Amino acid sequence: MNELNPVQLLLIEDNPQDLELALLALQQGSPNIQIHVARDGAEALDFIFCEGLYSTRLISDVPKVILLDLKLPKVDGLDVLRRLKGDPRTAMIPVVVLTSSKEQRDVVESYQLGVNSYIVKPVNFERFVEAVRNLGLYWMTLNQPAKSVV
Amino acid sequence: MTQPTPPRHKFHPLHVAVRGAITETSRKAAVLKAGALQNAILSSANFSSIATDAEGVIQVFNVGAERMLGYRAVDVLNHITPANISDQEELVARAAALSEEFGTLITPGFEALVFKASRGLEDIYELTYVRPDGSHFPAIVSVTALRNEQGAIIGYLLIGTDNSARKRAEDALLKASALQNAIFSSAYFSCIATDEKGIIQLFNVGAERMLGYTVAEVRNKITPANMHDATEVVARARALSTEFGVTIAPGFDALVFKASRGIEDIYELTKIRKDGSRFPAIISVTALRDAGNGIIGYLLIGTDNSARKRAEEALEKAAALQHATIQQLNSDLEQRVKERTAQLESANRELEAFSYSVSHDLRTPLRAIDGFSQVVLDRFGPQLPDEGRRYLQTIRSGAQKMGALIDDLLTFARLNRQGLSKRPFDTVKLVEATLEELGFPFKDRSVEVRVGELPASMGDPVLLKQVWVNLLSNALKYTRKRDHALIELGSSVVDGLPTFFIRDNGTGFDMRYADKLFGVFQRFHRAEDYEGTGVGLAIVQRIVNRHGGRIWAEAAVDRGATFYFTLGTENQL
Repeated sequence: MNELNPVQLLLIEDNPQDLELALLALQQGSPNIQIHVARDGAEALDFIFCEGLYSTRLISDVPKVILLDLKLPKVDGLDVLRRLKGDPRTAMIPVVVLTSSKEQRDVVESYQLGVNSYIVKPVNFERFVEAVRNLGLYWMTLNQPAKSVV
Repeated sequence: MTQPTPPRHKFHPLHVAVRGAITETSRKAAVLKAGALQNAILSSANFSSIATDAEGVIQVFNVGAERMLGYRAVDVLNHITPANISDQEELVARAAALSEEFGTLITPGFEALVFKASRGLEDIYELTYVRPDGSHFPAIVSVTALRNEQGAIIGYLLIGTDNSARKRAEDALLKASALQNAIFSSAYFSCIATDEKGIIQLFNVGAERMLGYTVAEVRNKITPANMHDATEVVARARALSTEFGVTIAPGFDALVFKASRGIEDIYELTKIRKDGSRFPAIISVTALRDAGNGIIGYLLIGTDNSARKRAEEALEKAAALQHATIQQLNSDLEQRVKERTAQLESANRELEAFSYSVSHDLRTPLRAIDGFSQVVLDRFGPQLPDEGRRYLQTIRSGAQKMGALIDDLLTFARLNRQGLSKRPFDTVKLVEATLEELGFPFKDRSVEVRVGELPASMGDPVLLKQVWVNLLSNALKYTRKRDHALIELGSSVVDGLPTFFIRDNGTGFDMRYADKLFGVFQRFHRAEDYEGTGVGLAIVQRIVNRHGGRIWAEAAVDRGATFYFTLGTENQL
């Protein structure tokens, strides 16, 4: 982990305030990361599968973790998750759902689709920062990902 | 000696007048004639032997006559003639018949009984005697004239045998044949008799009427099998073949096979009329046998079963109609249930969408308020006056409190649509886990928790844990100002139901407001004294109610509170 090869992270978030707070929290926790932001589900899929605006990106250049909001414009967060986990090229990427929804059916469906973590964004900012810092620490430094089979 | 008094009979005046003069001679003559054989006959109880003098006055009246006719010899001897104890109408009829036959006037008295014998003719006839009680006795009477050596008639002998048995037999025979005739000529039964091969020999009016053939068209020509539904006869032949293990031809044999084996046989078949129309019949078959028990033919008696069939069909139709009506009602009901369910489901979906939106969208701006207030404090805190920093903190706590309210409200709303997944569980373990989650034992407070007997329960453990969490949180919260907090958990039996209780020595409340205790957003304390959303006890009550139980509290201001709850009869273990 150094400045030439920063850890890549994909943050999928449509709400500008939540996005800004998330970026603040992430930068507070781990400064040496490169954060890609997608503002809706369609853009997220383009990024992941190197299509549209991201057609020049290499699919093998996978983000270390994807932070996914569930309520997204165009393509819903659960649909993004389904596509990700259903494709062998991307199925191994750890995905953390970071959402406001406490609804049990969202939690259950996310885990059924193969999500790696499900975090409900707290209203309290300190706890929000702590949660984001913890997940950054876990997924970006401690977790040993599987090598992609592709 | 008393005068005999046979009812309805008069003494003939002539006999009375002549009686005395001839009696002596007649008796002597009769005695002369009497031999051993005659004695035997006379003393037989099975013949009535009545001997008279030439005028008809009874001289001998044997035991048989006494037995059969009911008169005593002493009462009739020398008093009356046999005509006096005979049916008068018969006498009149007999006298008239004889008068005509012989061309001379014969009186309807004793003369009518002996006229032929007096002319030397053999005479045996039926005569009805009348007994003293008025009852009739049919006899066959043989009359012989008794003569002296010169051939002159000195009296008559009337020997009678009991004719009642024969009479009865004749009557019965008449009756039976009348009955048979009635049956055979009835238009309501078809009586068909066949020879042993099945060829029709008899075909009554009922058969003619029902089947539309005349006797002439069927007698010695066809068998009854020709008048039945061929398919049914084939089926019957097959069924009988299976039952008896022999091959039975699908013709007349199939109709009479059982009867030929001496088995009573009544069955239903469709008969076909001469014009081809059909009707259901019930047929009873009997084998006709000769004296040697050999079968000489068959008798098939049929009744028209159409009326019963129609009744049965009407009944079936009515039942089918009823069935259809019930089905229609059921399907209407199902349809209505479906519609109502769809409406409910739609309402439920809307509610879910609403709470989903609340859950997601209402909290996002709160997070922004709280988050950016904190960012301001972090980045620009030193440049702000103390008051500015306090205001920002107030903004933050307001946002956080609203977040907590939203969470509690969502939990409360969810309780209504969430199904209960009940199972038995250990209450003590559940309570211990709850206490641990709440941070017990506490380092910074002196809290004593006494756990008494807590029976195992049946219910949704996740929801019931929420009950214990909320009640224990309250107990901890409202004992916060005590130097030594005491919380007692236990159970007792109230109104026959196991009842859990949680007692604390906290601040309590005024029982005047007890009815508001479990309402949503109802708070008994100032926010600066005790934090809270006012939803916790409403959640508890809803969970308890959904388990069929009841919750209530007893308290006094500053003297602690006790909460009781049950879980309903079906959740006892």
